[in-house]
Amino acid sequence: MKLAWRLARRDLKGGLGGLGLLWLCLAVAIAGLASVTSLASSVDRAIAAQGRTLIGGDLLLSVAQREASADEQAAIRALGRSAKSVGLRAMLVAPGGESMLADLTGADEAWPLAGKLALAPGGRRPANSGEVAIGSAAAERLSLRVGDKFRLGRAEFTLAGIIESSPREGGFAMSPPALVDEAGLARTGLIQPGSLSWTAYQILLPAGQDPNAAGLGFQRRFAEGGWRATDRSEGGSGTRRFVDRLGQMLLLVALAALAIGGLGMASAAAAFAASRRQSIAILKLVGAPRATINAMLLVELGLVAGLAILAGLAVGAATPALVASISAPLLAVAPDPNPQWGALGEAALFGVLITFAASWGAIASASETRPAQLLRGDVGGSAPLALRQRIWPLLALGAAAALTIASATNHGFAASGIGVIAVLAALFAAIGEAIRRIARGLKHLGGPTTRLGIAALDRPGAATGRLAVALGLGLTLLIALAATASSILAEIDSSIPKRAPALFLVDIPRDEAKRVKRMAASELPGSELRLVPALRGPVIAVNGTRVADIRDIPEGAWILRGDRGLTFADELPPANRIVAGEWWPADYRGPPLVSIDVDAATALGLKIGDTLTVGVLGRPIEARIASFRQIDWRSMGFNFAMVFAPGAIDSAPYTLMATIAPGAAKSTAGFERRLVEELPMVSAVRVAEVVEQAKALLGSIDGAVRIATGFAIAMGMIVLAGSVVATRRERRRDIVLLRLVGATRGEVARSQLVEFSLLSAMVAVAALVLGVIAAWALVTFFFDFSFSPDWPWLVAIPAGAIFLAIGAALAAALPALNARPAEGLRAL
Amino acid sequence: MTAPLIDLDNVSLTLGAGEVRTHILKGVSLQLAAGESVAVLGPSGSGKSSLMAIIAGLERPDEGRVALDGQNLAPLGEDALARLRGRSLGIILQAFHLLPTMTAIENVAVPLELAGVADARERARSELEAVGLGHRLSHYPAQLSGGEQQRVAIARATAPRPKLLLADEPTGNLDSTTGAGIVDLLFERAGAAGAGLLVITHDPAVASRAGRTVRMADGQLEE
Repeated sequence: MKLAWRLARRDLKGGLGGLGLLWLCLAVAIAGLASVTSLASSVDRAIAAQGRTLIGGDLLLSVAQREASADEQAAIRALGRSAKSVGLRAMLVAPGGESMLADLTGADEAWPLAGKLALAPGGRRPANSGEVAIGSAAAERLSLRVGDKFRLGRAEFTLAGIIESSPREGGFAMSPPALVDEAGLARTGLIQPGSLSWTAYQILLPAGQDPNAAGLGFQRRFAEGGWRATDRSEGGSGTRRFVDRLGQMLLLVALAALAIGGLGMASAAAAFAASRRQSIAILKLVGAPRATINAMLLVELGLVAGLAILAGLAVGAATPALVASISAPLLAVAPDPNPQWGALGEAALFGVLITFAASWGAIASASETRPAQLLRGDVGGSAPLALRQRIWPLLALGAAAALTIASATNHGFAASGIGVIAVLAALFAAIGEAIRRIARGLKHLGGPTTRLGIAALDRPGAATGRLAVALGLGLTLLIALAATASSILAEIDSSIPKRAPALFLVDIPRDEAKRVKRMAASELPGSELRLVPALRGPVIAVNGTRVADIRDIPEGAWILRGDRGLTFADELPPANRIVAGEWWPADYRGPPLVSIDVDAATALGLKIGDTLTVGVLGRPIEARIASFRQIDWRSMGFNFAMVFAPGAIDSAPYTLMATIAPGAAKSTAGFERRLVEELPMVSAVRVAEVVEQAKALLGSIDGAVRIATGFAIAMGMIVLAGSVVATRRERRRDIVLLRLVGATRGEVARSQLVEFSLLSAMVAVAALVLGVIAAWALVTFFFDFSFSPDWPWLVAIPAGAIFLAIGAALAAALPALNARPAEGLRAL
Repeated sequence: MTAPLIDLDNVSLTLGAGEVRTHILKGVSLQLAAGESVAVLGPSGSGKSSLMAIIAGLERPDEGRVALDGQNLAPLGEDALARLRGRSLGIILQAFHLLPTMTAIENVAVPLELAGVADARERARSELEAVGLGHRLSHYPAQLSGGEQQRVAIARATAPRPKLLLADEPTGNLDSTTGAGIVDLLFERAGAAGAGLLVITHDPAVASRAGRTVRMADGQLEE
């Protein structure tokens, strides 16, 4: 081995012989992969470390629209020390009349049990029933300072402090927080029978007690109470879900970049092997056994690959800290900024497997070089690999795929992603072969420079197929993502303003419906007001099986998670269509019936006639499923997954919700002012603000994914440039011979231009077609939106890629283009 | 009676396949005793280099038997042949074939290092001094003239103290003056090492230096 080291060190003095490209491809690919996996791991670690402070205790038990009963309170006390808070939406109304929606919490003195309420300097926690603390976004928007007075519900409050952070479960908060004490909450007058509020109990468990088991135990004991349990490991689960989803998209792109990089590495390893054949033959001539040759080559490759993996890992190690500093305002949980050793270890192992898979064939073939070839002056050819030698790279690829799938948070997505990449790679390999055939058919066209350019696409050893995959894979992904995102954004821009109401009103007392109607008629003439009853409650049993006893809740069965909005209606709501069963008659007065969203029903495997039990204010109500509905969610109205028949749940106290489409009147400001004056318990949500927030979020995800995809395309350019460099000897020979017979530099450059233009244009057109088809399928069938992408942008992407590819290839070919014939002849 | 150093018995070699299949050697027999020098003279394409490849174990004959220092080469694998070359053979080629990334001393030391010789560098140094290149130890092949490169190749071939030196057109890439110097050096070093020498050449002047000359024509040997 010592000898192999020595020989490798000396051999490397002669240059990297293609290993530079291998270094670059591997380093960039591992940097991408390690960054994505490190980021996911750092969020998990942060949640694990901060979970307790995020939910304010070891366990958070919450229930909608009521407080715990005496029995439940006793059970909570038995679990450990607890703190109580009541939350609901409320309007903050500034002295000037400007209003803003906030998430109001009325907390007892013990709240929070873990973590802390962080206030801006100069502020303090509300100390009496007349004080409130609000989030900095609300204070800024309403121009409020500590000491200012403003209205909250039916009462006036003094601003005691500005909240910088506080324990609150969930990922993204759409509204800023507001905090009062229990007496303050009572003063607001907002807690009425049927108000859409929830009561949460933070609990500190005795050391060693499992919070998950404690939560499940409580839920099982009070299974009909509709309790939701969140343990400290689930704190920030919204953030985790967001990062997981974004992480999945980024993982797909990172894997594509890795596949492209793998192709570059294979080219690089082949160039390296070719550059070493002469030395290998000489070493064998003077007595070196194959094992020594193999060891020498592996040491050289291992050194370069090791350095590349280290460089990639360094980027991956720094990513969580970088993202933590950038995303702090966006994410509820800042990623753990420390290097994620587990994720880095996986990425390193992945790097080793990919290096092996990409280079083993070339190394094995090079070590078969026969010294007798030296006698004939031909050591360039490579013998075909034995079957045994082909199996090892395939095994390494399989192991890498298995590692990716096993370590992904969503195994199915990772497996599908690898499948998509493999299918795309196969398609582009076929397109590469087609380009070769086309070139074969066209190579007699045009003058000598054109002919040479076309023929180069089909010359022996041309990397046309490999380059088609390298350029096409990233480009197809970018086009598909851009077309999907632009379609969705266009849908939001065009459909929502037409269909969506201007305001959502929440917590309208049922006896104030007439007043709201009158107000809308006078302040917003011609407006369209729709009122629906609204309750909240969880599904507590499906066909008699308690949800608390269901081990694995299916992915699409979101109606089983937490409280859901419930309503009742005698007529089928607008934008709803019955797809199975029947809607009940308008005058139905029989046993409880319910109509379910068909997608949720499918995820749960429900049939018409099955039963669903919901908890309303702690009371279980079992209803038979009468119909499934297809809901057009784009209608932006009230779309309840569960709609009950009259008589099922309307005996419980409830409030009303309303949507208002302003009609001819553009501004709702006057209506809002009267609303907060006359009905201070009603909260108004401005749809435009929610849409803007959603668009900003979608935009940031789209931006992150596009940047990552750009990285995959850059990888393709590196591979293209590397491939040109690898064929420089052949290029130089062609160019020198052309110049010997009188071609100018311009004519020679044109031959290269013809080659790269043809290749990149054909690949770009194929990528555009494939990407658009993929996006159309995704947008039409998955999102159920109309396909209306930003065509100029879609065409600009492949056009830009063509220019980039030609530029990269010409830059790589420049040394050969500049070769003087005399110099070139000596080098031939 | 000691076995000949080279013992070829009725060796035939065919290269290529199908229509391009060519009979390179046709029933060649040749013996070379220890310390003996033999020149193989013949025109281009007569099979001289293939004969050398067969003797060095670089090609395997289709028929016939090849023995080197009494050892039949047929049952030996590629690695065993490589070790045999490292131990018993020194090979000098027309195009020098030095490792371009190694200095002169490193090139000469390689076969010694492969054979596990402890003082490989010292021996390489003395071999280079013996061929008159003591002042060029740290030069790379590209920094040496053709004649100097061939001297390094001779030093590399003789450094492991082989029993047999094989030289394939050792002066083919050199001018006549330099070539003559190389031939002198080759015979001198072979004599000093007590090694047998087989020189492949098309130059009668080179062949005349050998103790025995055989002629090769169309894949067949004539004494």
